[in-house]
Amino acid sequence: MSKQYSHNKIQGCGIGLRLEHYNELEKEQENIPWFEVLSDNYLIEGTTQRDYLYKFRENNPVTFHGVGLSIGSTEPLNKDYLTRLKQLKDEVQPAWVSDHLCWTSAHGVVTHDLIPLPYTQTVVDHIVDRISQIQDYLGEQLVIENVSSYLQFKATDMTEWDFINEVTSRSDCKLLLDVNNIYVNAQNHKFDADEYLFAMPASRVAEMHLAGYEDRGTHLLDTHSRPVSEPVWDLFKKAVQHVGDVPVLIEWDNDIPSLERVIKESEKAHKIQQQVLSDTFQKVV
Amino acid sequence: MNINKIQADFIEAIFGGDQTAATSHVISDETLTAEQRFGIYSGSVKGILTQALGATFPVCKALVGDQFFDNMSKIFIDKYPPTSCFFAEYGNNLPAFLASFDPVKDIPYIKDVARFEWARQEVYHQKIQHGIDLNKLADVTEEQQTKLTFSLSKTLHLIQSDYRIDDIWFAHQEDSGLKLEDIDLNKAVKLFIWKDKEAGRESIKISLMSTTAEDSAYWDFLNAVSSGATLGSLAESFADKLPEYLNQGIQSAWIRSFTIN
Repeated sequence: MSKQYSHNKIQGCGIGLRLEHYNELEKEQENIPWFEVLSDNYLIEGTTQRDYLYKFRENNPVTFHGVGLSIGSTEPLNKDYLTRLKQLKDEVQPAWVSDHLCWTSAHGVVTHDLIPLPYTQTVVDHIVDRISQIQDYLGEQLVIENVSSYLQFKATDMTEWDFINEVTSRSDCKLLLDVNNIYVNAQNHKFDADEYLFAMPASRVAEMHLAGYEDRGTHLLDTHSRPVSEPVWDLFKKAVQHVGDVPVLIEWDNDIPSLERVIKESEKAHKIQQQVLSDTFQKVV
Repeated sequence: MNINKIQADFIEAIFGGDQTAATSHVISDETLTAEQRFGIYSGSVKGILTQALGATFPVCKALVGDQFFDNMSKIFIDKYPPTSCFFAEYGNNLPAFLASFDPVKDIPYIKDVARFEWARQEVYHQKIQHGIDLNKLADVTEEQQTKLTFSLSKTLHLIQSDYRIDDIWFAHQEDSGLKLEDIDLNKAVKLFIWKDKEAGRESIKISLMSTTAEDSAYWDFLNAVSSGATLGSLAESFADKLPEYLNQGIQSAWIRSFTIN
């Protein structure tokens, strides 16, 4: 029988568990409400990373976030990957497992990148079937994240927000709402970020992501290498109004700064969230 | 629209193939053409994989320089696209690629350094096993003994090179005090690379033991075991040293189990 952990509640603003911060994390562990674990990095048994995961799991709740499910791929689901993911999930007991609404591998090749899909009814049908298979295997609702994108397909005949609504509703999965990705896509594809945001199914949002992008002149690149930008903070305030009090995570995966700096950004998110919630609550009263 | 065709066209184009079919699926606008938009993805994939290769082969990267390594990686990636979801499993073809990559012919040891770095990577990602399955060894008949073969732990790798690749690697480690120019590069070496838990600590360490060709009998013994040599054949090759070597291998848990063929 699996070990039962006492720390399971995901609340407030968490931190991504990163190899670069392991030494600092030992000192700060008590002050961090929860960790997001990049699950793909822990699916090989016997590594130092896994030992660290077990160590930090003792005192902190965790969520899993991966890229390997390749939900939008036309090749069969990767059974080896799914088996490993379920084994680790059963062992570590994350609050939820999330992955992205895109494809990363196809025709036997793994790109390790998040490549968007054409938004059509046929693709909705395909994705719903895949998510259902994954949820049946994992025995729980999957959480899927909206991705940033730099291209649009000629075949697309529905908006990204309609696509997300159809997929989440029909597969009865949860949503990891990446606010930065909404802003990046709105700029890259010239649509109204508010229209996208307020079309999101608020009751399905399990978590929100924030991150920093790079402005490449012709497009915004979602690099996860910068502090959150001002327009994204503004959109985040609206997102909090729309979805309410859900856990938030700052993604910082490249040019990773000190843990102190990441915590500072996380505290900023928490403060803004609490202020918006307080203002919204007062208005309602 | 066929999503399967889009994905096939994208994979083909990202990994060095013709981009016409892939970009035909993508919208061009006044800001960026379909080719430029697709290029953001092909560039990103190459960047991610180049970074992963650099993390697995840091000494190879240092030997040729960052720019050279990045350019070389792009050629390698087109030739050997990843087939695993795990970065840890990407790069096993790099040593063979380097062996036939003409621009590095002036660094003849780099292919062996790559083998060394890949071995460290493989050993690092193997689970340390406990307990040895040799308890039935006493029941083996004399006739069966000659046909018996042993299996080595996956947390041990044996490597040999005509070059002093262990010192080349050490010279690139922080505070090693060893300089590449001080190394007798052309000295043949046989290496044991293995993974162990550090005494009293949770962390895993990768250990290295080198032996010169003149003092390599134990390495040769384990290499013979690894190659599937029978106990009869090992007895012929290693004669009175066999009990000592067998005992040493079992004590260190490098010899883990046996099979009777």
